[in-house]
Amino acid sequence: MTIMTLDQWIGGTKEIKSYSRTTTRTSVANVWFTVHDLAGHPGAATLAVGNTANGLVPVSGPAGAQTNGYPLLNFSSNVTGYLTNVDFGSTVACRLSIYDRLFNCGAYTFNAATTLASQPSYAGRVPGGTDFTGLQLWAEAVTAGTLVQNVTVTYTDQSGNTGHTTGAVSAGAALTVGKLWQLPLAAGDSGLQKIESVTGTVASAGTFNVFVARPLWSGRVTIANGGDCHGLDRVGMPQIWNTSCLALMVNADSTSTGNPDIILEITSF
Amino acid sequence: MTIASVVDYFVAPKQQVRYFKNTSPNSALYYSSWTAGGNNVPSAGVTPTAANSQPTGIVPTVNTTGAAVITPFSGNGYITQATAQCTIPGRYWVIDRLFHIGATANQTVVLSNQPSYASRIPNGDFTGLQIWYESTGGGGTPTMTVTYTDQSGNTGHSTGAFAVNASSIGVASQLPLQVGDSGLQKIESTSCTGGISGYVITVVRPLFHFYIGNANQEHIFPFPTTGLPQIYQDSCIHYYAHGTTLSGIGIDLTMEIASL
Repeated sequence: MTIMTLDQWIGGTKEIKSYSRTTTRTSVANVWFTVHDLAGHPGAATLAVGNTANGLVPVSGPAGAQTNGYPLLNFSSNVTGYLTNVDFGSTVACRLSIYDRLFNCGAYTFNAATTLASQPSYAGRVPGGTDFTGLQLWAEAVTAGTLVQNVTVTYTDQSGNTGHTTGAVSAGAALTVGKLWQLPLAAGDSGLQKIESVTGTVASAGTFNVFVARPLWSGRVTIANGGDCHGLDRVGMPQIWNTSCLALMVNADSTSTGNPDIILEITSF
Repeated sequence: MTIASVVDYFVAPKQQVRYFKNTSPNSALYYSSWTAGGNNVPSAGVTPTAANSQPTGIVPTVNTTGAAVITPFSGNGYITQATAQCTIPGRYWVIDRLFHIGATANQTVVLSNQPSYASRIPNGDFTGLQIWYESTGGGGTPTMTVTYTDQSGNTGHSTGAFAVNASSIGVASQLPLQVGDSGLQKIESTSCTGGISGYVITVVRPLFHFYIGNANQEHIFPFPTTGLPQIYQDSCIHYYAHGTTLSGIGIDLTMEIASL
């Protein structure tokens, strides 16, 4: 059922999930970096997606179907789940962001020119199964590069219009492992249903993934070893699914992603 | 009864449970409040050892020294509010300590006839339970491996070898479960290499969590923040904390428990 009242949240079933990273990554100040491949709880994911031709829809649970790097969610598919509380801290000042990693593909070489085929759909992980607005497109460095990586992605927009493009988007500097950069959608677009092709240019070394993210929450750690607790009024109760891959990205003030330590409350009803 | 509405919460009998620790291990790592001593409420808990906890392990309860003192209540109990202050900022996990076992340095322990903690989890659901390591002495570079029965009853699952920190007494580390697992029914064995002191392995059920952002200021966490976790009359409540500095991180914590 849909949680529509405070009473329904109170009566909902809660599960607590931890998301921490016990190793750090060298980062660039004020640039997002991925950390789901680092050691911690849950265990490290493999950074390279391992599929360039079709892409994959990563899933986390129920048990037996878990993709490492994401918390295993336990609520039944017969109920509706929500992210209702986030307690967070980190050893470095930073911004933390949690998203549902809906689709990913890679790792592509620096000069890839790949048209995807038979892409699996992630329609089962957007509200109503039809609302693709709000989804974001990101590139993710897998191995270090030489020269400045540019990436162009063509995609089907939120309404099903094909052949839209991001244009060539620069990473801003040679790739370092884990670096993220968001690819802006074409003017007038607010989301995407499918990645159609991926092209790399300019760089002469390095590999990268491309992924579709559904942003769920972000919070600011204002000082090293600081943090906060965001209740349901601040989290906004975004809907999630028991297959959702809750992944973390970090935008540090300095040159280390630090040790983020996050506790998630998920309410299902 | 179950507290299922705001009205239920309003009318439910409530009690205030104080947990005050003014001495703690010095660490900017996670540490356990279990053995924190001094002029504390409750008194410092006793470290489980090879002599007093093997080979079965122990299910500590509200009556075990070190647990928060809860007045017996009827019906179902919930943590519905908390107020806290501390001399330094830090992060806290309030937990129900379901099980613990102690060992000597680098000892491998195969458990048998373990007592069950099934009565201390909601709806027979073992998901969400966690395994933690607690140091009983400073030094060494211990690596822990724990095997366990997972949340669904599958035996022989393992945390894998996991390096933990033993820089001082009480320093704690969470051990990751095997991929695909979300909880556990039972600890089967523990082993350690590289340690120079004994160790403790616990199974805990996280109840709620909060962050003290400003030193020496009162922080209030109402029920939308605590999430109304269910507790039991025999719950053994304490916390794991992570301070922001190397100074000790005690706390003056009062929890409201509503029961219906």
